Amino acid sequence: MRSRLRLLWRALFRRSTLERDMDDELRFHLENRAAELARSGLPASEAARRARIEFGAVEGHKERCREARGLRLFDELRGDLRYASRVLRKSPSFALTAIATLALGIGANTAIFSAVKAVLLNQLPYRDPDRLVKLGEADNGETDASTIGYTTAYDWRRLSHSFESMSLYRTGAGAIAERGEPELVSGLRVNYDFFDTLGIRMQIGRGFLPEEDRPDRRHEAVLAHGLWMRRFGGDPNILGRAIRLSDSSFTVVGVLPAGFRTLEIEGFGTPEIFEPLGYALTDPFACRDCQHLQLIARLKPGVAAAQAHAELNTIMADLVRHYPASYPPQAKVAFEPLRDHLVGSVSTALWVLMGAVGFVLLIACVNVANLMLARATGRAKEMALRAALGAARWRLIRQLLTESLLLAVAGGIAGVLLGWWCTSRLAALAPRELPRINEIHMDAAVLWFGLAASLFTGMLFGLMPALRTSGADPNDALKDLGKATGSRSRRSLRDLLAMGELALAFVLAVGAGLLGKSLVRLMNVDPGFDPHNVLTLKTYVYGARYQKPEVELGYYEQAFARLRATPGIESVAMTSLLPMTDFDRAGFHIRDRRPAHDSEDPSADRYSVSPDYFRVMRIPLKRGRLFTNQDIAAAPKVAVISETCARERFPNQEAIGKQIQLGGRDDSKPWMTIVGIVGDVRQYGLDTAPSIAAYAPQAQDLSFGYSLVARTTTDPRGLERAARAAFLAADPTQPVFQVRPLESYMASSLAQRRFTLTLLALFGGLALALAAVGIYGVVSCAVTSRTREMGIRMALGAERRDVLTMVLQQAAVLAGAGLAAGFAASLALTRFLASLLFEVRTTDAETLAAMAVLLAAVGLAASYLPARRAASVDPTVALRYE
Amino acid sequence: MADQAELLPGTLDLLILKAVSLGELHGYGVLLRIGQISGGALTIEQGALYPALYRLEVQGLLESEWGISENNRRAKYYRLTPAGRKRLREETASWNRLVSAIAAALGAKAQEV
Repeated sequence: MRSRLRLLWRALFRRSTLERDMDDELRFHLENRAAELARSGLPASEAARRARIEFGAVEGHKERCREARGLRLFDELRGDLRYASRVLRKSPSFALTAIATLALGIGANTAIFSAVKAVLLNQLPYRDPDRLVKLGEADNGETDASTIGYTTAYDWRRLSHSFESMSLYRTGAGAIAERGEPELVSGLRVNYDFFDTLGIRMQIGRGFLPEEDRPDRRHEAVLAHGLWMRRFGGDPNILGRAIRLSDSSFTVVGVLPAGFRTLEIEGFGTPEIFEPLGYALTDPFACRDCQHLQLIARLKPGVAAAQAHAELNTIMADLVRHYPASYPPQAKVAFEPLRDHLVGSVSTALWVLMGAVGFVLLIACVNVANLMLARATGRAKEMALRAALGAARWRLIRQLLTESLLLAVAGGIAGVLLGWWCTSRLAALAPRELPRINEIHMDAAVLWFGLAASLFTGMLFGLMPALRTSGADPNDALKDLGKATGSRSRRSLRDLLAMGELALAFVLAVGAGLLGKSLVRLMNVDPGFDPHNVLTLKTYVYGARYQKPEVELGYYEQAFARLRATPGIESVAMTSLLPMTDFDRAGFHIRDRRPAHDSEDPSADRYSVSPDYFRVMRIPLKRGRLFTNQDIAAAPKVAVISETCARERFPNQEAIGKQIQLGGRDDSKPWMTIVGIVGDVRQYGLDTAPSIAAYAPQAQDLSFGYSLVARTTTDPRGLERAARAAFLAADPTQPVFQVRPLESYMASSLAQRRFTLTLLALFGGLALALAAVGIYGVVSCAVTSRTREMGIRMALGAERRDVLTMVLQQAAVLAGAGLAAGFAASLALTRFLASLLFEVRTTDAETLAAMAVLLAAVGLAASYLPARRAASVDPTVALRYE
Repeated sequence: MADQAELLPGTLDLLILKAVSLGELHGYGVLLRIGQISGGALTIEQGALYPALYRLEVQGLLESEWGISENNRRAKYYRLTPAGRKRLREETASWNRLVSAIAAALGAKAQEV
C-alpha cells in the first residue's frame, strides 16, 4: 500500500522524473541489446536498428507502462487542467471577471457563515450545553425566561424530578480599590452549585460549598480569569487571600479558566467576580413575588425538554392555587433552551443575512454561467471538432467542468482570502450587543464551507453550459462554423438567467429598503428626552462614610459645584435610571385603590432623580410642578409620574394630588403625593413603547448607584476628563466609570438594526451591480448576434431611433419579467423580515415601488450602452459581417 | 528459431517473478535471464516486458531501486518483495497442477476412457 501511495505521489507531483526514469530504463535496454548484437558481428547502426525492431513500438509500450501504473485517469485530469488553465489564460478578462465575481460571492458567504457558525451553530462552552435551560416565571404568557422569586424556585427544585440541578443567580457588583484606581467590578451572586450546573471546573482552587451559600456566611469569592490577571497579575498564590469588595472582605477560593463564558444579565456588563447567593426562605426579599433572581437548570439525561416543561407547569399550577396572593392566576413557567435564550433575536437577523448572502452567491453563479454560455457559443466550433474527432461526450463535459471548477476554485481561494478580511471587519463592525461576537473567526469548518461553496458554484454554473455545448450535434455545429449566433434556445436560456438575477436582486433590494425605512422611522421616534450634548457617567458609593444619605447627597453636591464651574457644562443632575440602558421596575400602588392581591398592581419604571433632572434631559412638564430643592427628606414626600402612567392608572380623573407607593405597599410608611405629570420616556429602546413611569426626588428616596447627566454646550466627549475629575476630587476612593455621551446609548440601542441594514444594503448593492453586469452581457451579446439583422433593417430604411427602441424594448421585456418574478418572490420572502421591521409592513407598497423603479432604471441603463452600439451600426459593414 | 514456443497469456508475469527470484535484475537482465533459464526456448516481445514490470511493481510484488550496472550505467533494479515471493510459490504450484492435469488429459488412451 505504501509503495502504491509513493508511486501515486510521484505520478502526480514528480511527473517529469517519472517520465525521465522510464525513458532511461528503456534506453538502457535498447543500448544493451544493441551492444550485444554488435558483439555478435553486426555493424553498430544495424545493431541499433535491430534492437529497436525487436523491442517493438516504443511509444505504445510507454503508454502501456503508464497505464500499468493505473494513472490514466490522473493523466487525463492533468491534461484537462493544463488545457483549462491555458484556455483561461488566453482570455484573461473573462477569467478575471468570473473569478472576481465568484470571489465576492464566496467571500461574503464565508464571512457571514463564520458569524452564523460562531453565534448560532457553535456549542456553548459548557458540559452537554443542550441540556441547559433557562427558567423563569411567566406572569403574562411571555415565552422568554427572565426572573423568578427565591421561594418559587425553592419549590420548583423541591417538587420536580426532571432536573439534575437548578441554580439561582443575580447581579452583585462590588468596588475594588486595592492596587490601583477604584473600579466597579460586575459580579454574580450564585447558588453554590452554579458552576457544577454549567459543568465548569476551576482553573485553580474550588467552587463554593453548600455551607458557604447561607445568609450568615457569604465570605468566599471566585474570580474570573480576566480579573485575576488584570487586578492581581495572575498571582498563583491568590487562593486564601482576603480581598476587599466595597465594604466587605472576601476570601478567594477559586479562579475560573480563561475559556469560561459566564452567563450575563442584560444591561449589567460581564461579571468578573462570583459570590455565594446566600439567601434563606426567611429573608424578606426571598418572597414568592420578589421576582429578581435568574434560574438556570440542567435536565436529567433522557428527560425531554417538553416533559420537564410540563412537569414544572403542573407544579406551578398547584402553587398558584395555594398562594393566590403571590401569583397572578394565569402564571406559568417560561422555559427556554439556554442557546435560544442567549442568541435571542439575533438569530433571525443572522439567518436573514445568510439567506441574503446566499442570493448574492446565486447571482454570482448566474453571472458566471451566463459568461460561460456566451463563451460556449464561441466555442461550439471547437467542441464540435473534438466530438467529430471522436471525443466522448462525457470527456467533453469533463473538460468543460474542469474549466469551471478551476475558475470556481480560483474564485474560492480569492473568496476565502476576502472572507478572512471581511470576517475581521465584520467582528469590528458588529455591535457589541451581538452575543458571542468575540468568538467570530475563521476556522477549519469555515474554510471547508468556503471550499464546498466554490465547488458547488463550479458545478452549478459549469454543468449547464457543459451539457448544452457538448450536446450540440457536431454536424449542425460544424455547419454553423462561420456564424457567431447562438441558437434560439441558448439565447432564451441566457435571458432566463438574466431575469432570475434581476428577480433575486429585487428581493434583496426590497429587504434592504424595508429595513432602511424601519431604521429611518425609528430614528425619527421621539425618545421623550433630548440626547444631544448630554454627558453621562456612572458612580457607585460605598464605605462606612456613606451610611448616611446626607453624606452621599453631599458627595454629589460637591461634584455638581465643580461641574457647574466647568466651562461648557450648562446644567447637571443625577438619576438612578439612565434611559436606553438601565432597568428598575417596582409595583405601583395607589393609596385609595386596593386590589384583592398586591401582586395585581402593575409595575412602573422607578426613577430617583435630583431636582434638575427633567430640565437637563429636556423632559417636558405637562401639568403640575417639577421637583425643587425644597423637596428634602424632612418635607412631605412627593412624586412625578409620566403621561402614560396618568392616563392608564388615573383614567378620567386628576392624578395630581393622589398618593402612591413604589415597591411594596406598606401603610406604616409615608405615601408620596403626585405633584406633576411629565412627558413619556422610551426607557427600553426606540422600538419599545413607553411604559408607566414614576419619579421620586433623590433626597427623599435614595437609591443605589447613580448616573450623572450633564447638559453641555459643546461636544460632550471633550468634557469626559473634566467630569471624571470633578467626582474624583470630591472623593478619590469612589469608582467612576462609563463616562460617555448619552447619544452613544442611543446608538447602541440601534446598533443591531444598523448592522443588519448595513450588510443587507451592501449585499443588495452588490446584487444590483452583478445583475446590471448580467443584463449588459445578455443584451450586448444579443446585439452582436443581430448585427446583420440590424444592418438589413437599416439598409431597408430603419432609423437609428427605431433600432435603439427595438433593443431597449427587448431589454424592457427582460427587466419587466425579472421584476415581476422578483415581486412575487419578495412577497413570499419578506415575511421572514417581519420581526426586524419597525412600523413598516412587509408588503410596504412604497418600498416595493421605489425598488422596482430603481431596478428598472439600472436594467435599462445597463442595456442602453449595447443598444446605442447597435444603433450606430454601419449597414455596409454589418452586411459583410460574418 | 523454429524450436521457440509462443508464450501463453498470463505466463509472462510468472516468468518475470521467477527470473527476479533468482537475484536482483534490471529490465534487460530479466530478458536475458528468462532466455537463459528457459534454455532459449521462450521468446517474449521485449517491449512488453516493461508494462509487465510496472504492473507487478504497482501490485507490490516487485520493488525497484536505481543502481549501477555491470557496464557502469545507471539502471533500475528489480527485487522480489515478500508478497512477490508468496505469489510466485502459489503461481508455481497452480501452474504445476495445471500442467500435470493437461499432461494427464493429453496422455489418455482410448481404452482408458
